[in-house]
Amino acid sequence: MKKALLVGLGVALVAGISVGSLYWNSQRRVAEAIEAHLLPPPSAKGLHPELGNRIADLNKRSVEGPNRVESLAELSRLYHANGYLNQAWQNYRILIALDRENPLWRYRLATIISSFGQLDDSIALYRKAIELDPGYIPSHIHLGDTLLKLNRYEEAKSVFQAVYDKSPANPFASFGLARIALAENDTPRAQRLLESAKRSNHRIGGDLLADIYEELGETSKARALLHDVTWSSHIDIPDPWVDDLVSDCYDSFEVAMAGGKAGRAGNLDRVVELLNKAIALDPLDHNAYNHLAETYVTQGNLSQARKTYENCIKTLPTFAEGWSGLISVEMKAGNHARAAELIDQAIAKCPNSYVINNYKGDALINANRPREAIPYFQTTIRQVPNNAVGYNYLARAYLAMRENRKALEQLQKALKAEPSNPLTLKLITIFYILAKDQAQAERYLKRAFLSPRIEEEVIENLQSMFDQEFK
Amino acid sequence: MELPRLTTILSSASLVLFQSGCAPEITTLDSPAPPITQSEVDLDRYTQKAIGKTSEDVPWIAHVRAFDLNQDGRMDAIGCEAKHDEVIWLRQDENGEFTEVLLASDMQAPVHAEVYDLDEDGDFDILVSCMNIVFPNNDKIGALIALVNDGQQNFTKRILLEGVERVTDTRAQDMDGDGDLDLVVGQFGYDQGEVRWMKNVGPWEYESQSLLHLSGLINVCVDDFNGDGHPDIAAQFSQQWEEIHLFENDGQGNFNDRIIWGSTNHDFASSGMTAADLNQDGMPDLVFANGDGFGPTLKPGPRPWHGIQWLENRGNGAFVYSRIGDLAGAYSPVIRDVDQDGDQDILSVSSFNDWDNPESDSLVWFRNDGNQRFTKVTLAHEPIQLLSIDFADFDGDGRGEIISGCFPSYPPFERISRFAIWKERVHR
Repeated sequence: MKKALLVGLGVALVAGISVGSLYWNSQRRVAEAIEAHLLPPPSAKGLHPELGNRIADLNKRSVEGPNRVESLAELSRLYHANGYLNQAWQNYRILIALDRENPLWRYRLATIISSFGQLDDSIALYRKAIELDPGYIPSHIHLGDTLLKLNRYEEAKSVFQAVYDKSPANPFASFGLARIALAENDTPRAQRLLESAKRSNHRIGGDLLADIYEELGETSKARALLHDVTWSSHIDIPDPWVDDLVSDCYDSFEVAMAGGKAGRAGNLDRVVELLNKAIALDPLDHNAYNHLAETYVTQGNLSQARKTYENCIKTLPTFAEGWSGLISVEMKAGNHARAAELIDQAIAKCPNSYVINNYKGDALINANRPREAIPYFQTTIRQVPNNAVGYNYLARAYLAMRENRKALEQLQKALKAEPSNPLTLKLITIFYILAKDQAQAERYLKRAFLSPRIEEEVIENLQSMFDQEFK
Repeated sequence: MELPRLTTILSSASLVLFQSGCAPEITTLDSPAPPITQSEVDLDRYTQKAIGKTSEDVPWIAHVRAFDLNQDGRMDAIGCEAKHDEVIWLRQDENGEFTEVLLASDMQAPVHAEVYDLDEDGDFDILVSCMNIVFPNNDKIGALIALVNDGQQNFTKRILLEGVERVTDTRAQDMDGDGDLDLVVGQFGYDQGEVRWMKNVGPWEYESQSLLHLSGLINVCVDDFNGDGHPDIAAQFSQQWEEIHLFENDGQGNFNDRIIWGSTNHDFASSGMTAADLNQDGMPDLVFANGDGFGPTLKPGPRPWHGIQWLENRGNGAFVYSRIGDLAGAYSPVIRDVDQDGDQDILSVSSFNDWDNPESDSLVWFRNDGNQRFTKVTLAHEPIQLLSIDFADFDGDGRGEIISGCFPSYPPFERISRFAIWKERVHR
């Protein structure tokens, strides 16, 4: 009995020593691996103090423990979120070695590596990340994109096709397949896929589809499509494994960039959230206030927009965009007297801003004082000679003064500066219709039709005016 | 065996077993290492002097190219002023002073100029790529204009292409082996763009052939990239594509398009590309920049991935990517042996940087150690917002000078120098 007890105790002791030794040894290995491969932290100079402290603390904990791997993971996240891509890159390499079954490290490293264009190096990482978590769709789309850019069309096709088969409404899979079809000169298939992508998300594929329509001579379709394409016709696939890093970002510019990206994707609530974070990080960032106020306007929240623009111009009283936004809000709200006050304040602060000069001149035309408006528009033309806006306004002033010839001269200058300016084309077409000059009216009506920036409704109205006058 | 002894033996064995480890030691990491930039600062290497006319206005110098236009043996430069629609000649006189001569106005926002004898009459003409409107616009308003030299440096405008997506770069080369200069045209557009070649079919007559419809084209480079004796075309695309395409020429003007590099980062911000034999192995390589500061927010600025990289030509159309170094807002890579040590270095500028920080890079030299390992040397923190540079021996002393052009597209509109020449202080 005593002997059995002793044997049991002996075995338990051996097991305890073994487990303890294993644990101690694995921790030693983790510590050695981290210490051997961890890059030095970036210079603390210019770092947000909290970021600097967190980096220092996590560096220490990654090497000394406790929770070395968790600390390293948090440190990598912090580096990645704040643009220290070399450090993040290296940390992910270490994490891949220490935490082999976690797809996150391979995926994040792959996004950095393929971002730099080391496409061959990223493929194995994407493939392993997919093996570890097949349900994370951005891994598939990025792998497909990477293979596509390596001209490995068959492999890219099978990756995109697998996503498409499971989810035919996935616009990113359709778009990838469409690009391969285009590279293989299969335009009909590309067209079908792009139309499918666009049906799922109207911000995807419009540009390539417009090219196809133009090639096929389907001008009206191309025109309608291009009219809808505003400010780039592409968005990235939502990617929580990378997009969420912004919550650990201390750089107001990068946070605002993430806000802009959310805006491109149409997620205005996220834009507001991120821009508020950008402002919290840098309360003097007048650009972030301006962007936030603009977003509130888009959301129809004029009272928040007003407050935010007011904060914007408090931050930088000479920031013309802030003033013009605030004036625009008051006009939208019907507060014309307040808008007039603001215009005078703004022009005192920003005498060379063409936007403010336009507001002032426009207000004078509306007050039936067009001659006084002229110098303001001349300032605009001096400031932005390549922009039709000043010539258009000046034409308006001359029209109000019934000096039609001078107005026409300005419209022609506007078209020289911006050959497809929608307002100019509209005004000049109307001008010639009213002047009963059929040939010129027809010429500009054609030009208006060729400019996708002009709304279909405007074209129809111009056509109707033309028909009434000449047919 | 006595039990305590057995226990001791087992314990020792266990310790040995676990100390030596069941898992391998992590001495190497099996994924590729990050490209870390080595950097130095040498603000004393060059002295900078403004040249050309002085102006209160914020300039938009989109491109500057060193060229002895009047062939008087003194290096001049051609500049594109995109705001005022001007092409400018910075003519150097015998005293080394530069006089600004307006070559052409009403040039529809010129953004790139190259010099060729287009009409083969013995003097140099200028091929000007015009965007018409520099900032985002998808209208088909681009133009390609030749400034035709009468031999006395009087230039006449000849429109070679108009009503197309905004044109950003054009090169002249005999693409079909018939002995005359054809044109390769890159059209950035905005949502729609194009690469085309224009076959020369008679004096100032061209037939256009589209090679690819894709937006965001920044630069085209023409060289025999695949070593088959025929000039090929490399084209750099930005926007959401972020790709470099190679159009391989069969010598008859038939091209096969394939991607030779790409980034999956849709904000990679490609901003310029040039062809040169960087490693001097007899094959043209491609060096390219990413540094466009405009992104999905109202203010442009630097991004952490901006920098310079190259595609090493391994022959037969195979290219291998390498990062050269980080540079926020990188533009206008120029390949020359800056320090005359026999290898090819790279100069570049920053157009979008954190200009609130007075230590942000403006002009940078990537010094080659002879094995294509580069050290980033900051040469200047200002003037800021430089967009274009070139490098040539302007003063005839056998060493090169830098000429720069400034294009401030966003405040602050300060520390600006419209055109500047940078001369090495002393022979070092």
